[in-house]
Amino acid sequence: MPYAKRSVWFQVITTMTVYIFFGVSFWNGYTAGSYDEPDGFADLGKLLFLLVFIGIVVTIVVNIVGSILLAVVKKGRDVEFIHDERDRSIDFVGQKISQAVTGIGFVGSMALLAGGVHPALIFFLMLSAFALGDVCGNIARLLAYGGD
Amino acid sequence: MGNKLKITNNIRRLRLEADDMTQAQLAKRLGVTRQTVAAIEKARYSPSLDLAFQIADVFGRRLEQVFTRHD
Repeated sequence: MPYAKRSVWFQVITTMTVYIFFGVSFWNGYTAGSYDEPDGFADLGKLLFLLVFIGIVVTIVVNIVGSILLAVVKKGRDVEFIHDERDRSIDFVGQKISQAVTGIGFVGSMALLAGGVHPALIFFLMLSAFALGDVCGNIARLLAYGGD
Repeated sequence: MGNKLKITNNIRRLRLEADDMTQAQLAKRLGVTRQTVAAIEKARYSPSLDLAFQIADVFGRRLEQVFTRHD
């Protein structure tokens, strides 16, 4: 498995982990009515900063642990760290799909906002669109790599 | 305009002629992954002009001796 494809798998795991953490945290706050309070959105902002921090930590941990596990399984064979022009070409396709999905999610969120949906829920939906876009882009990358 | 041309290549044959050079050995000389060489050989990926010239250089051939375009 090329290094770039391995990185895509790591990204999928990271995105899913961080998104699940965010989703659970948000939903707990939302059902408790925390975002109806005057400073509710400040709490949401803090949650987002926590999310960024967790994202960095999870990315580092998943990459290090994943690389070590792979090196152990492969016994040091065929573990290369090359990111070549084909990887960049596949990245480009993934980015386009990611942007398209995120864009659709953003426009959909705005439509729901115009329809009177709670702003906190819109905030959640927009971040969900980012996460979904990221995952869709990465799945497109994995499909492009095929059986490599 | 926009018609995609099928490009085939003789890389596999040239590798075998070059003392059974492996895909991994060729990839190392080109600075790409073995999977990229495999994808080019199977015409699943068209290399950049730069990489195509590098491949031709490795085998000491001209570009058109390595790659063939089909209308």
